[in-house]
Amino acid sequence: MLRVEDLVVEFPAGKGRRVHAVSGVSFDVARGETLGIVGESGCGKSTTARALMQLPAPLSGSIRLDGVEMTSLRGEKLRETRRRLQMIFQDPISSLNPRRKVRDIVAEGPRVWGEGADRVDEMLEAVGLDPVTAAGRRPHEFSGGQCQRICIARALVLRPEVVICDEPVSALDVSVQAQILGLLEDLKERYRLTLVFIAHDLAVVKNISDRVLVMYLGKICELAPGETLVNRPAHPYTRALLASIPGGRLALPPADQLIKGEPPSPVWPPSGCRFRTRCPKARARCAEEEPVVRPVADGQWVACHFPEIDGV
Amino acid sequence: MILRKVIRLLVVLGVVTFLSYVMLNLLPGDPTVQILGMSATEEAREQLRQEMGLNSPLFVRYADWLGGVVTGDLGTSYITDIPVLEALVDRLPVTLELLVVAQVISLALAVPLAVAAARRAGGAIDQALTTLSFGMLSTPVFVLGVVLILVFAVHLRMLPATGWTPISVDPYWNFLSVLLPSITLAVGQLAVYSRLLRTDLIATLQEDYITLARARGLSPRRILWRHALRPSAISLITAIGLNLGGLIGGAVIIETLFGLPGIGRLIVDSIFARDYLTVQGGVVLISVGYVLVNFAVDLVYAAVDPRIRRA
Repeated sequence: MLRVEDLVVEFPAGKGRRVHAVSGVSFDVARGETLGIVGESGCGKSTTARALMQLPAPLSGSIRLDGVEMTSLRGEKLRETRRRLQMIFQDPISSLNPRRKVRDIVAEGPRVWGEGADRVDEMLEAVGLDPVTAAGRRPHEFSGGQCQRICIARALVLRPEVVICDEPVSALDVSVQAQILGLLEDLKERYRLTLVFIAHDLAVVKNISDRVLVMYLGKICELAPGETLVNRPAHPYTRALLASIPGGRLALPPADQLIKGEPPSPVWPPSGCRFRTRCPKARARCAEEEPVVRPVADGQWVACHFPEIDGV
Repeated sequence: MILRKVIRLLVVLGVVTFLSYVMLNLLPGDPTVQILGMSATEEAREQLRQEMGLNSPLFVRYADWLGGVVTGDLGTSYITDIPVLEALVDRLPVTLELLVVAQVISLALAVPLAVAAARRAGGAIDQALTTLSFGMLSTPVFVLGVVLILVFAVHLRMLPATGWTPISVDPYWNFLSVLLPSITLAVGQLAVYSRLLRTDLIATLQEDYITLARARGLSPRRILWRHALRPSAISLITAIGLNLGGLIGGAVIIETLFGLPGIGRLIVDSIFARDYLTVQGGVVLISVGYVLVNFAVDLVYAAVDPRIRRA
């Protein structure tokens, strides 16, 4: 239902330089699917998510929601379409206007769209808050997990079709993380949502996602069903991510042998394969020629000249 | 919380009045010269000094004065023979009206200008406002005041150049007479206020909840006015508080230029006349005003951002 093609987002970095935040990313999301996006900080996950909403709009590329090209929408049309996608951010506290009461926060969306506030209480209950006690209070009176529940209620009260969760649990305690993840899965079933789930932690993403997209420095490394990705990672970067999860199922070498150094600057991304400066398998070809995303197995797509096709 | 504020007010008053007392006494000059004139004999002046208690030590005189203040007696001017409190009460409405009208004018323009500029940071409106603000800030009030008098009073003959009509005498003329001085005062403040609010608005507009408001399809106008404006107002409110407090006595130049009988003029005239008691009374008034205004500002903070109430 959501198809992204050749998405490019760049930001000016002063003196005519540009940050290449997202460079030519393509993927699609089927209705009812959960697509996970992982990668380290600065790899363009959040930028991709915001570009889907046109906040800000991408430099180039195409984003189609049910065949409607979003990048060419303006004004009223764009506002109406944006509504069908909603977002949840990492920091639930800064996501809420500190001045307003919970009821106003959740009710404002429907009110702007000329709908009554009758679903507000239902929504608060659905996310596990008591409407009677919670609605009259302000965000700073709640814990992080409760604030995230308010954010979820505020997004879902607009009956979105796609919910983009940008690191929705990264700022929360581990015990609360599991609750929020469980809540998201329940709500997905109940309201037949399509989720785009972003996290830097592969362990969180692989459990909740049908398919997982691995990004590095603004490019796609690998796209595969969650199980495949965990059991047969093909891209060296995916392997490095997996090796960094404690208690992984695969017998991978230690993470520090699979990845070295710090990520390069997105202002001057490396030529050819962007991962080559940190890849233990990099050869001359990797610097000269950029690997294209190609299928290596059923549903598994990889952008690497020398993928690990036979597992470990 | 209230008690702490009151204690703070008393400490501020004590320090400020003592320092001003000391400084006034360090000034060369003698009130007896002002009262008796240059030709008075030394004996006559000495006798007057005795009567006025000017020969007692500084601390004794200050303690005397402070005792009066505590009982609500600010003394009577040696020079004009008018009770200080009466002189202040007489002058205060002029200064207050000037301040309030100036604040209303500057805020009424600063808020919409800042919103328009923040909406597109770095855009045409923003750059024009930035240039204009620095122009307004770097124009001294006495230059601006003279230019305004020249244009509106001398050439266009729309407004009176100087002078003051009390509101009880004629509200319409009162308004006309306060207009030019208020505009002169408002221009500099307008520049400061719009700069502060613009910067805070731009920061607020980067917040996640603003992005999410856009995602929900709220109109840019609603986001700016309903979601961004109030959380961005903290610096602005601080500046208004400092301005209001400071200008109670600080509108001296304006009051002199436009011939307004306000507090600032009273204090300056009294300093030149070595009218210590009136100056001291003015200092008390300014300090009380300053502390009260900033107390009010603290309360407004909590209304603007509920998180501050807990801090």
